[in-house]
Amino acid sequence: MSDEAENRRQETAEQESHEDSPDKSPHEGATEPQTEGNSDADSKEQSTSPGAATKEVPGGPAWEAEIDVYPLREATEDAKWAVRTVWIWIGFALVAMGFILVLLILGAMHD
Amino acid sequence: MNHIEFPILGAKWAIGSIALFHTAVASLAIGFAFFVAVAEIMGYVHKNRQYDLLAKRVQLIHVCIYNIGTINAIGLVFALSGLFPQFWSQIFVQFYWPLIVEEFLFFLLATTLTFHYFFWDRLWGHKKLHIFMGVLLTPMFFLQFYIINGLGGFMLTQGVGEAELSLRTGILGWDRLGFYNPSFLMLTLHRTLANFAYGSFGVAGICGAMLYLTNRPKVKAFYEEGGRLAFYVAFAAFLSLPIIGYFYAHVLRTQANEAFVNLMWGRGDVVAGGVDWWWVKHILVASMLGMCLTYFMRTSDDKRPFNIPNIMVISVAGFYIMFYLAMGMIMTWAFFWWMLAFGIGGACLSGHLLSYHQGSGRGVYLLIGILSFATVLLGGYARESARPRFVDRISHYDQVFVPEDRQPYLMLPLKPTTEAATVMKEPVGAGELIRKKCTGCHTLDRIKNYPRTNWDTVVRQMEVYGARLSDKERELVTAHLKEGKPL
Repeated sequence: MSDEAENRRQETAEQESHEDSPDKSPHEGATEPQTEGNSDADSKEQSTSPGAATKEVPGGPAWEAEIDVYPLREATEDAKWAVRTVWIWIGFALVAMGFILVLLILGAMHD
Repeated sequence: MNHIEFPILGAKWAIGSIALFHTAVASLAIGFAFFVAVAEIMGYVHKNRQYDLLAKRVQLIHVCIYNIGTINAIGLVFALSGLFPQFWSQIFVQFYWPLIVEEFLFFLLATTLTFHYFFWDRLWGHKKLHIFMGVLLTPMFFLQFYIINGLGGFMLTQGVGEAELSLRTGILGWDRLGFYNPSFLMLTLHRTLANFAYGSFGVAGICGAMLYLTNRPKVKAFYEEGGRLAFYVAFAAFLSLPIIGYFYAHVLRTQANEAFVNLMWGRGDVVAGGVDWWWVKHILVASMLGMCLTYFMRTSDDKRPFNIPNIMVISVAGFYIMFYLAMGMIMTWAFFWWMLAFGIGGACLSGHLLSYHQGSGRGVYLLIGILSFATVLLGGYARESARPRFVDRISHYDQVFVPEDRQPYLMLPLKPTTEAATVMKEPVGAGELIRKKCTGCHTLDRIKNYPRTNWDTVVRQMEVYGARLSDKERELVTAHLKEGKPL
């Protein structure tokens, strides 16, 4: 196999592995300002690529490039629907756990 | 009595296999939840993506195995309902409401777990919120454990008499004294901390296996660091186990003496195929302790984000020695020497593996992951098999409830009809008693051909093996056998 063909094969494999990887961080390297509205946030999540850093480690797993970066970002950059969903669920879970605790305490006192 | 038969395996081993598989998978859940929370917090505090990525990948495995464990649990309930209907109906009469709460907790856990993984990369702007959701999983699992261990403890230490009183005076489906039974607290603490250790050693094992499979320096460093963190988290939990183990053994001694005797002297189903599996479990634990101590001594000076104080390791490791000494005094000194030998062996092996791999923990991680898996399986097996045997698929709970009030089979009315009560009526004659009670396990010829006359001892031994006799019945049977009357 020629060098050119080998390079092409590596690039294709790299591209496929980025597309398939469930671990890719779609927000890494995102710098454009967040627009209002859920759909915008969603479409940005879908379209942003994992970043050029992956090209530095050809042949490795897609998440290898993520190791070096701890990608904290502004709170406003998170999709609102995601934050709302998590808050609602945590609220529900805390209330439910509180209810179960009350049941256990009452159950410990009464037959 | 006609029972549903399970092909090839038989009822006992069918339940045993499903339950052991469930133990292996479900026990990982609380351990993984705890480790993921620790790793994600460590990642955030030190802005170290390695820990965060490891936590995320472990959570993905957790989501998968949680589903497998839940489906397996449903299969276990189906299998128990059909194969041991008396047992299951009895559990339902006493613990219906806790089981309903348990089911609701399954829903809470499954959803929180899935959300935690699903929103990992969607909440980098709200990382603390995401971490909080992950941390929430541990108390949620603890609540689930709290409930299931009420039932689990009851299976071993019913608190004879108390539970009956509790059931008669209380709400149907909630047996307070049965739930908060004598071994409840020890079982809960033991399982929780053991599973923290098991889950985290499991992560170390995965890291060890991955280290063997990769040659990329960056990926190797990732698994090396992740394995070390997992190892240390597991070791911290592992250290507490002999303290709980000692008090657990003490509770069993006073509240479930038959199980205690079976474990300590290797009787009943604890011994299978000529091997005392409880000993094997402790041999593995001693080997793990030795391995951990060597690894700790070699790595504790490293400047890493997560470490354990030396004084804690030295003092609590002393508890292991005290535990083995105590077991030597109670049981046999052979136990102490075996544990000492395997502890030293584990320490040497760990040292060799570290030197062979030039300081890499890959061999230690992988081996300790495998050993912790085997230990959990053996622990589950030893605990279940220490209980007196089910005879004719009827459990020994007739000490808790007088037979007339117990539901004979399936979900019959709590107060049985005259017909049902007749079915359960106890035989009265000593000869009939012997035919009924003894032939479940051996033939009458074995009694006829028994050469000695120490029937008091023999009858007591048979009770340890699972024969259920009241005081009056024991007297009748012993007298009948001593007089050599026909059977």
